[in-house]
Amino acid sequence: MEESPLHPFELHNYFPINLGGLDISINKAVLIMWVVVALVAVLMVRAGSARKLVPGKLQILAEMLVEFIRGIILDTMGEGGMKFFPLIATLFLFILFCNLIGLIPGSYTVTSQIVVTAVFATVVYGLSLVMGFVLHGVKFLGILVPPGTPGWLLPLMVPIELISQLARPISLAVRLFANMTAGHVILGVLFGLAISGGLVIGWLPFAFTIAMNGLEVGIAFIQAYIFTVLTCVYLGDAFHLHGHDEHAH
Amino acid sequence: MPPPQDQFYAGLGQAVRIGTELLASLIVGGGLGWVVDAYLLGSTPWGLVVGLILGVAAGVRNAYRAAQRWQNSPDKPGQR
Repeated sequence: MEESPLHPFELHNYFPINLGGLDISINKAVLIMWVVVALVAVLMVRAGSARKLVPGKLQILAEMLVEFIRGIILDTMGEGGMKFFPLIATLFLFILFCNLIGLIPGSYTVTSQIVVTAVFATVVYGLSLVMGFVLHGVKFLGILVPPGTPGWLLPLMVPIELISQLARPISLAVRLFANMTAGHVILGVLFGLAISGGLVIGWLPFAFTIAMNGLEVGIAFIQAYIFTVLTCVYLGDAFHLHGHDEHAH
Repeated sequence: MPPPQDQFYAGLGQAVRIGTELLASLIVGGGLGWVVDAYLLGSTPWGLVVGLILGVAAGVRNAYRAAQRWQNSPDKPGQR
């Protein structure tokens, strides 16, 4: 049986809906996203409802996750960043559970669709732009001029900074999408080899599949972590304009 | 237990991050140059050339900044 390694990325339409030419069908990705939302919500609400002084297993897990996210925010944005805790915690938990659920055979990795990651990145970057202009007004355009730039370098530095700013949402979206997609393609190829190899040699790629799955669990955490850290960094840049660079020198 | 707290994973995360940073800046620089070429000035291929060069510069700048931020983080990278 031959199967394309891209097979796991097919979206099966379960419940076609067409709203004025707009395709909003319920497909596999939508279904898995609902599952993830329900899972995160149930986990956090149930863990939070106990509020015991001596926490149970679930509460320990939730407290560890919350402490971890709080640590990231304090590291990158400082005390003022805690205002964004709900947004950042939601992003982190959603991406993490999407990545992890995708590793269960037969399920679907929502974050391997660039549409999904691009929407996350656009929301994060858009928020940082809006916040920057609200907090600093027109002075926020100064983010395009790195501190300490001599005047004659401005015509060169402003385009470079503009490109590096525009690259932020793209690198945010592409990184998550590419890592998840690549990992699952590798898994697909290895498993295809295992099936076509049969019992004689097929056990070798099959063993690699298992090893790769273990590595992918690590990648799922790392990618969720990086996305969260960069969200904090971008929001923090808009929050205190050039604040970080001044500390550096 | 999130593995990124491990020093190895923190380093791996940084490496992955900087790689994509270079790529994304290149895409944006080349893309802007191409748009200038194709729709604004019709200056093929100079917009693309200049855009790509600026994109490389922006990518290196982003990678440099990422490394700088990592170095200046309040505690050592592996321990956060």
